[in-house]
Amino acid sequence: MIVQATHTVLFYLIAALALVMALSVVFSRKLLRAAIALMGVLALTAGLYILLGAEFLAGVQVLVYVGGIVVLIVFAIMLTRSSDLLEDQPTLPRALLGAFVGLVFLVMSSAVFFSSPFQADTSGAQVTDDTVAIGRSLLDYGPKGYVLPFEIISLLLLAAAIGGIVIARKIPAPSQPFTSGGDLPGEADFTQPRSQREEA
Amino acid sequence: MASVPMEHALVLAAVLFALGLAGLLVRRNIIFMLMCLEIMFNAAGLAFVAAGARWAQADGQVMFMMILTVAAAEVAVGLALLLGFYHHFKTLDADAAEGMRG
Amino acid sequence: MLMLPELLVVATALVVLVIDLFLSERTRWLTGLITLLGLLAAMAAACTNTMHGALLGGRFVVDAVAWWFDILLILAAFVTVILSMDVLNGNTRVRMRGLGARAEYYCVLLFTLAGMMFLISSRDLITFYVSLELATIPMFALAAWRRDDARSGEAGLKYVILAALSSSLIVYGMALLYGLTGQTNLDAIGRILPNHVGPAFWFAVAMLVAGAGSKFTVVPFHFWAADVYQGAPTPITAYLSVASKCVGLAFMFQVLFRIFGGWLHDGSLLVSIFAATTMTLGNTVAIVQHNIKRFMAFSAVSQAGYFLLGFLGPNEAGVAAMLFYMLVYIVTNLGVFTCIIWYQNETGREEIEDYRGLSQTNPIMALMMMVSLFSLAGIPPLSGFVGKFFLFSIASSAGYHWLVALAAVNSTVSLYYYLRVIRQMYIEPPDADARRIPITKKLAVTEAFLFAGVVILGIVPTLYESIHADTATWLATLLR
Repeated sequence: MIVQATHTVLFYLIAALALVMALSVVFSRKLLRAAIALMGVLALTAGLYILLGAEFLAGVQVLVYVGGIVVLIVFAIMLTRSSDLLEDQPTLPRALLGAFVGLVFLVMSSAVFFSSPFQADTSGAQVTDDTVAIGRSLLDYGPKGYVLPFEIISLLLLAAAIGGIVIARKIPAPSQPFTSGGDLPGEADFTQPRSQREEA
Repeated sequence: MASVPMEHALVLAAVLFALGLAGLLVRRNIIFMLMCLEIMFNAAGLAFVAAGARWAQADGQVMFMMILTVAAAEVAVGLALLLGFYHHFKTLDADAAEGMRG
Repeated sequence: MLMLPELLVVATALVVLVIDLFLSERTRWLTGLITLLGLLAAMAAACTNTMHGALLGGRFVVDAVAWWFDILLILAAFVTVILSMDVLNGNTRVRMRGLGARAEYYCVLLFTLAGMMFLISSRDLITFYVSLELATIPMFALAAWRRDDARSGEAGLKYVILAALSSSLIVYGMALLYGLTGQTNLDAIGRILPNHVGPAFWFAVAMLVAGAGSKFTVVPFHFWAADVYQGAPTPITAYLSVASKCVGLAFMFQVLFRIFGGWLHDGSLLVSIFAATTMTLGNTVAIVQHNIKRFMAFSAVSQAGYFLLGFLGPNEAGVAAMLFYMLVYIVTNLGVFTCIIWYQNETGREEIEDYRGLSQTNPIMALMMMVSLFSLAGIPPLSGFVGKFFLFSIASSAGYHWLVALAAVNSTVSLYYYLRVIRQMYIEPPDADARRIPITKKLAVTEAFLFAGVVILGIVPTLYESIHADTATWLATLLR
């Protein structure tokens, strides 16, 4: 009983903290501070997963979100030297639009949750804390398994990595000859566009 | 866990999603926009885990892992593009991009 | 082997990536050839596969509709690769810098194609979502591939933010659906949902429709299209305008027919309003455009409106009409884009005014471009007219006479703005120093084939009949 009560209190505490953090991501004027707040939101969500009994997800959340994505964002902030930049206050129409859309979404979705059959059947509901079940369903090629999306998402990561590398590479200097390979100087045949080759 | 009604987790997800959505519309700095998108994806993942818990299935958690990976891929490509944008415009203000008008 | 076409596409992507390591700059053009061969093999595998069935416990299903979508998507990718080759090989008169990395370009393009093909064959939320992302995320990079041009990067960035927004809406809607039904199988969700009609259901509908509308450029979710189309490298604009539109239609098929199939009839008024606003707004904005790629973007938006007419029919009546019009649209739009790409490769220009006098310097290309544009406008006896006719008759038999009338008016308006381009080509005099613009063999042959397609699809209706015969019982196979 006490354990349950502690769980409940912890849940609401973590939820409230996560909301405060999310608010500061949305309203902070400093990029780096917002990034730290974002890390807070994501880490607190991981805490929620532990409370919900999904320890494995909590670990993945910390590893990928906090350890990966936030670090990437911080890198981007550093690379663009914008950590000291003070974001301008948004214009009034923009702020009103954002507040309006956010509020409409919030009111609609909360109304939905409290008036829909989600409420029924919560008794005994429990996150399967069985990591084995997740692993099995990721690699099972029967009707209960998800091996196909598992393979597709590996293609997605590969494609995103290739695309990201190509577009993030330096642009060849204007004096450098045309090369379809990107940055490497081309061989003789490709040093000039066709018009000049024809004239030559 | 039964002590935390599932719809409360869903409402938390909805509030986080709404905050991210509002921030995406309000912000002009592209890094802020990407961070707001991350909050939205995180909220959607939370909703999936909560929904999976309601049905006591592993499917919600499998989907959570997919969402996580997709968010990572998206932010990787987004940040690569952002660096290119910064290189050209020397700013991260989305409104600075006025190259195309019709 | 049901999955052979998809596997061939993925294998080709990997082969291209690896072979590139062993090629010198002089022989690197081979990667394009390998890509084309791989796509040909995939097309052959798809065409010779007459079996329908399920793999992986029903996660991957090939049925008549998926089969036709596979054919259409491979066709679109094949032509796109041919159109990209000149630009990527540096075989252009105007120097285009920053558009390099051929092998990576083909590889990423093939990955998006695989994602699209998996999407239409998927039968559960997770595969559906993941393959949608495989079809979308690498596309951001492709849109930003021209690193020397700030507009290309800007297009990529806008695409990332708006597409990520729409995909987050989609995934949130999916979470609601899953929370309501406890099922991930699309057909099972469609069967269970009638017991759960309520606020949460309508909320999920709104989320998924907004996401689907954004992928299919339905007004008011179309706002990303114009900037992305204009900024992306032109072959990618062509690919976006056909393949991305095709995958948007596949997405609509999955969502509207499978998940919300039971309400499609009740929601047809909503669909008709979306159709009306989409074609009207797309047409109105296209009139004032000066950049031809931006112009084609709004033309594509208005075309999406015509497609929506097909969803008005009872059950699957519109499926064949939509698939046929998609085929026509792919062939016709690629016909126009072949011209645009050729002109840009040779002159570096992309304003509509730049096309003045083209009929005197290059009469054959001007003629083919004119016929393609007329087909887009729906002039009989070209294929565009036939395709629109089938769609209009679906809407008309469903009782939406006002919408058909509006669509007819819109077709007339669209004729006006397509004529703007034709006027530049045929009536305006060419520049004094204008000479005949050379064309590479690849582009000439491609344009000739596409031109033949535009004409033949209009006169020979057998293809529509076979699509119709294939897909007539499509929904009957859903366990309803």
